[in-house]
Amino acid sequence: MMANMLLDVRGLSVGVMQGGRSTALVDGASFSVSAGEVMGLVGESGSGKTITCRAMMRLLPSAATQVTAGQVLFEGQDLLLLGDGAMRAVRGQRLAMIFQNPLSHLNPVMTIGAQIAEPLRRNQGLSRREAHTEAVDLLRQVGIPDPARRISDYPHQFSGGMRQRAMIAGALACRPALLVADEPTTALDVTVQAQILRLLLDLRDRTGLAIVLITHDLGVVGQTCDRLAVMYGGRVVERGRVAEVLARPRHPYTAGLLASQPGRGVPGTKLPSISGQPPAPGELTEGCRFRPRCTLAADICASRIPQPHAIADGWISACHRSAETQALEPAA
Amino acid sequence: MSTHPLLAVENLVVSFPVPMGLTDIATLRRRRVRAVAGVDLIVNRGETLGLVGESGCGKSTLSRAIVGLVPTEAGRVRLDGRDREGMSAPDRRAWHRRVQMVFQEPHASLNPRMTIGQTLGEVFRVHRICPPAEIEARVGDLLEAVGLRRDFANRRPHGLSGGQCQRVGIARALAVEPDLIIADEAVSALDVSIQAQVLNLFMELQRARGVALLFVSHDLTVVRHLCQRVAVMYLGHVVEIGPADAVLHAPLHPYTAALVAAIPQPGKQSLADTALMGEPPSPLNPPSGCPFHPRCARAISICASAMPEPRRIAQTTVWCHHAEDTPALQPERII
Ligand SMILES: Nc1ncnc2c1ncn2[C@@H]1O[C@H](COP(=O)(O)OP(=O)(O)OP(=O)(O)O)[C@@H](O)[C@H]1O
Ligand SMILES: Nc1ncnc2c1ncn2[C@@H]1O[C@H](COP(=O)(O)OP(=O)(O)OP(=O)(O)O)[C@@H](O)[C@H]1O
Ligand SMILES: [Mg+2]
Ligand SMILES: [Mg+2]
Repeated sequence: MMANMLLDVRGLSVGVMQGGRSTALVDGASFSVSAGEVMGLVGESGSGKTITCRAMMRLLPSAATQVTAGQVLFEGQDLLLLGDGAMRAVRGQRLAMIFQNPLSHLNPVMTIGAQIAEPLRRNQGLSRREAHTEAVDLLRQVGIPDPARRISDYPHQFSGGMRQRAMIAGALACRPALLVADEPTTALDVTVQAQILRLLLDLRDRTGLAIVLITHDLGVVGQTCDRLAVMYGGRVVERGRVAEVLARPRHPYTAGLLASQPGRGVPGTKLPSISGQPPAPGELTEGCRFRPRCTLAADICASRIPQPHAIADGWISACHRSAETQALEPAA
Repeated sequence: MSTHPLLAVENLVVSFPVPMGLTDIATLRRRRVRAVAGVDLIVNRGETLGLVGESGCGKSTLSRAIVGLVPTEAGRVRLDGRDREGMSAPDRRAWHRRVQMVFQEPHASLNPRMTIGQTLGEVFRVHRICPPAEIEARVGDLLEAVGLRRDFANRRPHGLSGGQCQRVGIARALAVEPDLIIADEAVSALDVSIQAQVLNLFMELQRARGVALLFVSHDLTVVRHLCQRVAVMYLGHVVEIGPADAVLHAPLHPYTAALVAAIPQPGKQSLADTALMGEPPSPLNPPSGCPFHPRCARAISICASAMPEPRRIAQTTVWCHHAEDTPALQPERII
């Protein structure tokens, strides 16, 4: 095990109570992140990326969703066992999350500035004036024009991408050791996106910040992440170094995803996609959840859950047919 | 069929009041943010026009102004040549049925107390799209069209993933069979496979029913695939508009060139060194002359003093003082 391991998620499962019984939304997810490392988390819409990260942060959205198994080791302690007060302190000082939909996570009746400055005062003991100065500086760093003035705007006065950047500024304010960023750049044009990603990588280089980056943009993954975990139907199906996984995906879902990237065909023509639908939570729990959509599916795929296993050094796939997947079409 | 374009936006201006700062109170000046500073656009039937530009440049505000969700300060919005202003109530309702918007932040645009089935069903009812007995089936079909299972009709927005919510927003816009869809970052929360399904659906609607699309997006690869024409906005102004092929492969405006050069590529392993120089401009205090000049490597004195007139070069219109003097800018990367 690596010495500087910062976060180690082991067998994390999350269920939702439906009609008196618990249905799995996340099923035994495992991955780790070292200090100074950026790990990409990608996968189908609805595959459980957000729920996994919120479970890690102990910020599941409702009482109906609960962790049912696993450990979240952060700096050596299991976050799932911490008391609420201790967990709040870890979240305020060591861990931060950028949420996927800023509008639901920003307070509509509080100015942007107050929302960034208030945690600075609470967690870092800054004075009102110091916190204000720091908040202006953070907004400048994320490229908000005229930050000294815009700091007194309310969230609805910001554009979508400006709100996203305000969330990023707020998350960086507490100088976390680990940043969990859930689709942090979906509303940013490519030049501002590059500026924000450079800011994050710079913090990584200078302070050893570790980042879990959830994104659908495989170009961004290629440019910023060291390692990658791919989720499908609540399970982590493939994990490895970015350059290797993107060049030669070994899980059929990963291969299908990479083959669906736009930009290769003639404009206006039908885009390739993975045919079929993902299973509903609670469906197809017996074997591989990707099997109805998989061209390599065999009998064993219906009867046994494929366990994640090493297929090369630092490369893990949860596929019964991983011997055959060597031949999968590599991404262009 | 009329000779007018489906949608025509003429010299549209939208501004918002901003709270007065100390200096404003001293000088008694009321400041406004000019989010859209005089935009002209047309969208033809069956066409997809891409709208791209810097975060905060006014794309969402322009979209909302077109559908009538924010008041305009000046300008006109016409559909088939008819201005929405002064229309009778039924005409206005028909107008709103024909132009549908998919919102950038879908969670905020769905009623948390209603099931997805009720939300979509209401659209069918209000616009009398089909007999009440058929609504349930139509809702199911619509959900499937955007890659959601029919049983999503029973769920509420709470607990939907980001991409599931976004697809409900798309389904709601499609429900009324509009003539124009304004899609504001409508596929940004979808993985590339589901994104492909939704884009295929848009292209299919276009072929089958001649639906037009104003497609706001930061993903230039998708814009290239989907759009016949592209408009590039900067600080409330359109600075370049023309065929997608020309604008994205041989940009004429320096801002477009910077944008195209920053496209992330899966093959490349480091961030492109593309940060535009200088501070981002503030709509509270816009620069004189060309809005891009403080960050433009080619700026000369005229750029600081005069707003460029539009120039027509081949099929592209560009607002840059240098447009005729230089060959198309070669971005680092061609999509
Ligand atoms: N309270 C709930 N009740 C029922 N299902 C839920 C609930 N909360 C989440 N889910 C389901 O759990 C699954 C995982 O959701 P999650 O938000 O983690 O997806 P995601 O991978 O982040 O997707 P996206 O990329 O679209 O954001 C989804 O199918 C979602 O509908
Ligand atoms: N209701 C409002 N009150 C005050 N200012 C506003 C309001 N809505 C938008 N603005 C401002 O208008 C400008 C344009 O915002 P808009 O949301 O149109 O940008 P956008 O191009 O959609 O950006 P993004 O790509 O980040 O979504 C921004 O400076 C924004 O802060
Ligand atoms: Mg999510
Ligand atoms: Mg916007």
